[in-house]
Amino acid sequence: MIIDIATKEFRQTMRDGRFRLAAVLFIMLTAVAFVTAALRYQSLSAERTRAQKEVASQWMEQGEKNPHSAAHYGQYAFRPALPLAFFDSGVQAFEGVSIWLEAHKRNYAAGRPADDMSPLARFGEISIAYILQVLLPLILLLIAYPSFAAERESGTLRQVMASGVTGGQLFLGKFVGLSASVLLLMLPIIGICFLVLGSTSGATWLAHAVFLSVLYLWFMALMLGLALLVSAVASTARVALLILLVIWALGNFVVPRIAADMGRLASPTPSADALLRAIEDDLAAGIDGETPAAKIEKRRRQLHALYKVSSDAELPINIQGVIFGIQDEISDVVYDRHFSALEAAIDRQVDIFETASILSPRMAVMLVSQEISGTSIGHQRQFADGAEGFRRELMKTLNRDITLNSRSGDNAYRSSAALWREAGEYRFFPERLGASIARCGAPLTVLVLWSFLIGALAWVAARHLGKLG
Amino acid sequence: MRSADILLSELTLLRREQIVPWVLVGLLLATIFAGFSGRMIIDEQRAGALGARDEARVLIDSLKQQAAAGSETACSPGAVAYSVLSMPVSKTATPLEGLAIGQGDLLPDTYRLSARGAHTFLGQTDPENSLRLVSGNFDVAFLVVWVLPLLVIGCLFDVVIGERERGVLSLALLAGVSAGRFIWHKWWTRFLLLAAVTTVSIVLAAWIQDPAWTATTAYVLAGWILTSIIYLALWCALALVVSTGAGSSEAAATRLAGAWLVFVILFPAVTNLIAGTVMPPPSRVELTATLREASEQADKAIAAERDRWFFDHPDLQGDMNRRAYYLSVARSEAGIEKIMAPLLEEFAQNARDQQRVIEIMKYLSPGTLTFRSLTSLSGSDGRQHAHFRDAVVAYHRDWREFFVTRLETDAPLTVEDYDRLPTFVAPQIDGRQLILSLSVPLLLMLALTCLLCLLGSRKLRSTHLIVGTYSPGRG
Amino acid sequence: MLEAIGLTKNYGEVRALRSLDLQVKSGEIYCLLGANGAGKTTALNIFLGFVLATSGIARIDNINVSQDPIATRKRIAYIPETVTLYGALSGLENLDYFSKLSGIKHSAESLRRVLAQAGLAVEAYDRPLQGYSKGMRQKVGIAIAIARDAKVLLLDEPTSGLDPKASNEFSQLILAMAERGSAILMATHDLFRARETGSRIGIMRDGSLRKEFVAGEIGHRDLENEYLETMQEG
Repeated sequence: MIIDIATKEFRQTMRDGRFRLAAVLFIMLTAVAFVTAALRYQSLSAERTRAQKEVASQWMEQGEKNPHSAAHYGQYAFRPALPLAFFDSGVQAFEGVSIWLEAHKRNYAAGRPADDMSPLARFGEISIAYILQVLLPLILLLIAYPSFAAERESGTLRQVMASGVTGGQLFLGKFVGLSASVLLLMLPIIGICFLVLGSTSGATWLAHAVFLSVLYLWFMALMLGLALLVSAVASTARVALLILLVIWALGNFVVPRIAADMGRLASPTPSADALLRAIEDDLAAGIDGETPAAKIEKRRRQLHALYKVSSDAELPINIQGVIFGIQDEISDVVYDRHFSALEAAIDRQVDIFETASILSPRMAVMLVSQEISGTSIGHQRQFADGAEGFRRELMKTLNRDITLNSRSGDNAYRSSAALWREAGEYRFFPERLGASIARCGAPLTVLVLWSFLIGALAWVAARHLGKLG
Repeated sequence: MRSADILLSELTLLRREQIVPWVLVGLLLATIFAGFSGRMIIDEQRAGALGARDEARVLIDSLKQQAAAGSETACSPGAVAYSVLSMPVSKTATPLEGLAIGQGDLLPDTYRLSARGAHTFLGQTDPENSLRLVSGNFDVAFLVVWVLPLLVIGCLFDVVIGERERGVLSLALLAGVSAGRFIWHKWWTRFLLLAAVTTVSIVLAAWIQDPAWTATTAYVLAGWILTSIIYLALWCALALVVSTGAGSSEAAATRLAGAWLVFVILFPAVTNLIAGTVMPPPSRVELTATLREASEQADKAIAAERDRWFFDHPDLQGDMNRRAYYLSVARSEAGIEKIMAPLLEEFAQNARDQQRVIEIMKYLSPGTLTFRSLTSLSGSDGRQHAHFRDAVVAYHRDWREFFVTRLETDAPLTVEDYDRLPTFVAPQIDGRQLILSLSVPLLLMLALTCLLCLLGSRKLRSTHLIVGTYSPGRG
Repeated sequence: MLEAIGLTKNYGEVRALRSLDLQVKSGEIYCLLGANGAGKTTALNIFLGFVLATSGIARIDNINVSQDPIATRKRIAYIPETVTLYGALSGLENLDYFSKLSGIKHSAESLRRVLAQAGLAVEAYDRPLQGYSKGMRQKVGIAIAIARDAKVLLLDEPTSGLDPKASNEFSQLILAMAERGSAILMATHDLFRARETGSRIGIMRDGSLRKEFVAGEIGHRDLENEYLETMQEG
C-alpha cells in the first residue's frame, strides 16, 4: 500500500513542470558550484602546500645566524585546504590562513580571504553545502506543500481516505515517494563528491564524507516531514505554501543573523588595539606578582648561587638564553590568558548561535557540516593551537642552544643548519573525526529534538487526516 | 463606487486579515532592533577609535615633556618613529552607517601606523567570531533588501488572482467599477501602507543612530528613504504583474518566491562568484612568503653585522650607536617597502577592479542594486574605505618622511617638532554627491517599476482577467 | 448492507442530524433529497467515517462504522460531487492507483475493461486527467467504484453540473451496479434523476427524514409537490 502511494507520488512529481524546472536550475547551480569549488580548492591547496614548503626551506637555508635572530625570523604556519573544504567552505573565508611563529609573541592568524573578496560576498557563497542547506529544501517545500492541502481542497483526499487507507499509510507513502524524487537530485551530488574526494585524498576522509551524507539525508527527511506536516494541517494549499515559505526564510536568513548579532551584543570581542594594549600592560606587569625584571634578577641570583659565581661572565652558560626563556614563559602565560578570554567570548557567541538553532534546523546542520568538513571555528582553533604548540617547542630549542652552547656576552655566537633541522619545521595534523563530532553535541541534539517533534506532530496529523470534525 | 470607498473597504479588509497588521508591526519592531544593533556596533568602533586617539595624544604630550627635559629617547627621531610612537588614524564617521554595516565589520576603521612599512599596519584586523561574519548582520539594509520583498509578496501575491478566485472581480465589474480601477486602488492601499511603515521604520532607525543632524545626514536619510521606497515599489509592481498573469494564487506566490530567490539570493551570489573568478585577488599566502624573503634579504643587505633581534631588543645593541642602529632600521624598512609596495598596490587595484565588475553587474538584480546603494549611502560598500586607505598610505609617507629626515640629518626632536607632527585628514563625505551618484540606479529602478505598472495595467484590461484561460475540466 | 439507527450529529448548538433511521438493502438505490444544510452530506460523512456521530449507530455490512472505519471504508465506493483526482495522471493510472489503495490489483486489460464499462471513450484512457471534462471525470469516478466491486456505493450530488446526456449515462451505470447487488445511497437535488434512478426516496429537512416513498409509487409531479411541501413546513 505504502509502495503504491509512493510510486504514485514519485510519478506525479516527475511529471510536475515545477519540479522539472527546479531540477534543471538545481543541476546547473550545483554544476557551477562544483566546478568553481573544485578549482578553488585545487588552487588553494597547491598554493598553501607550496608556501609551507617555501617557508620551510627558507628556515633551513637561512644560513648561520644567532639563534635568537632565527627565533625572531621564525616560521610560518599555513592552514592547509582540507579536502572537504570544496564541499563546505564554512568559516574559512573569514579566518586567517597564516600564523607567524616568532619569539615572545603569539600572533593570531592573518590573511583573511574575505578581506579581498567583493562586497557581495556577504550575500553568501554558492557552495554545494549552501545549495543542500538552503536551495534544495526550497525545492522540496515547493513540491510537497500541495500534497495534502491541495488534495483536501479539491476533494481528492476524501476519495483517497474513503478507499480504506489509513492516515499513517498515506503520510508515509507520500513521504517515501517525495523522498525518492529528492534523492534523484541528491544522490548524484553525493556520488560525485565521493568520487572527487576519493581521487584527491584516497580513503582518509571517507568516514567524514559518509557522516556528511547521512547528515544531509537526515536534514532532507526533516524538511520533507515538516513540509508534509504543514500541508496536512493547513486549511488550504495557499496557506501551507505561505507558512512554509515564512519558515524557510526565517530559518535560513533571519534567525541566523539575529542570533549572530545577539551573540555579539551579549559577548563582545575586544578590538585588536585593545587586545594588544592589554597584553602589553600584562607583559610589563609580569606574572605571579613579579615583574619580568624581578623574575630575571631572581633567576640570575639563583644561577650565580648554583654555579658559585658573582657575575654573568663567569657562568658556564649564557644567561641570555635563560632570560629569553623567562620572557617566553611570561609571554606564554599572558598570551594564554588573553587568547583564552578572547576564545571564551567567541565561544559564548557561538553558544547563543547554537541555542538559536532550536528555531532553525538548518543552523544546526550548518554547524555540524562545518565541523565534519574541517572548516569550522573549532578546526581553526585546532590549527592555531597546534601552531602555537610548535612555536613554543621551537623557542625552547633555540633558547636551549644559546644557553648551553654559548657564554654570556657572546653576541657573535652563531648557529647553523644543524640547529634549524633539530628545531624542525611546522607540520599540520588534521584532527580525527571523533574530535570533530564531539563538538557537535548541541547541534546534533537539536536535530534529534526536531526529528522527534516533527515525527510526533506528523503522527498526530496523520491520525486526523480522515476526520472532518 | 468612489475611490475613497474602495480605499476604505480595502483598509478594513486588511485590518480584519489579522496577519497584515501583525506583519507591519513586526517590520517596525525588527527595524528598531536592527537600528539598535547597528548603533551598538558603530558605537563600539567609534569608542575604540576615540580611545586610541586619546591615548596617542597623552603619549605625545608625555614625549613632548620628556623632550623638553632632554630625554634621549624622546629626542631620538629613530626611537620615537620605530619603537615608541604608533599613530592611530580613523576614517570619518558616516552619518547613519549603523543602518548598513556592509563591509564595516571586516574593514578596519582605524589603522595604527608607525614609521615601519605600510605592510605592517595595512593587514591589521580585529579578532572576530567568524561564524558571525559568515551569518551576516541583522541591519536595516538586510531588512530592506531581503525581508521587505517577502512582505510585499505576502501582501500582494493575490491582489488580482485572489479576487478572481473569490469571484469578487466579476462582482466589482457588475457594480460598474473597471477592473483596472478596482485593482489599482487595492494595490495603492497596500503599497502606501507598506511605504508608510517602511519610511517610519527607517526614520526611527536613523534617530536611534543619534547622528549629528547636518545637511549630509539629511541627504543620506533622504537617500535611504528614496532607495527603499523605489525598491518596494518595484516589488509591488512585479507582484501585480505576476498576480495578473498567474493561473492560481499559489502559482503567483511560487513565481514571486522564485523571483525573490533569483534576484535577492542567487544573482548577487553569482555576481560575487564572477567578480572573484574574473578578477581573482592576489594571493595573501604568496604575499606572506614574499614579505618574509624581502625582510630577510633587506636585513642581510643592510646590516650584515647586526642581527635582526636587536630590533626587538635595542637594550642589547651593545656598542652600536643608537642613531646608526635606527638608520639601518630605516634603510631596512625602505628596502622591504620597495618590494612590498607594488604587491600591496596589486591588492588595492584588485579591489578596485572587483568594484568595477560589481558596478556593471549590479544592474542585473534589484537586490544587488539596492544593497549597493544603501551601503554606499552608509559608507560601508568598500569604496569609501578604499579612499580612506589611500589617504592613510599617503599620510604614512608624510609621517615617515618627517622622522627619517630628522634621523638622516641627525636633528633631535624638539618640543616644536611635536607640535608640527603631520596631521591626518580623513576624506570627507559629500552627501549631495552621494545622492547624485545614486541617481542613475534609482532612476533605472523607477523606470522598471513604471514599465511593470504599465504592463500590469494592460493585463488588467484583458478579458482573460475575469474568466481565466480555457480549461476543459471546468465543463 | 447500509444502516443508520437513531443517527444524530450535533455541531455545538447546531443539530445537523436528528435521529436518522435508514436502511438500504443490497440492490437498492436510496435517493436522499433535501435543501443545502438538510443533513445529507453529514449522513454520508458519518457512513464514510469522516465524522463521528454524536449518538446512534451507522453500520456498513453489519460493521459499526465508528468502531472500525477502515474496515467499513474497504466495503464502500464513494463518488463526490466533483471528481478531481490527479490531473497529472491519466484516467487509467488514476483507476489503477485507487484500485491498489483499496487493496485490489487489476491487470491493465482489466482496468481498460472497467473504463469501457464506465463509458469512457478509449482515446481518453491514456490522456492526463487535467484535460477531461466533468462528465469524463465522473466516469473515472464510477470506474473506480466498479473496479473496487464495492457492495456499498455512496454518491454525493453526482449529477451536479452534468449535461442531460451525461446525467442519463450516469443513471444507467448506477442501475447496472444496483442490479449486480450493490446498495446505493445517493444524496441529490435532482428530483427527476432521483425518481428515474431510485428504488426509494427520502426527503430530509433540518437533519431529519421527513418523508419516504417508493420511487415507482409516486409520479414526478407528485414528488415535486411533496418536496416543496416539506421545504415549506414549519
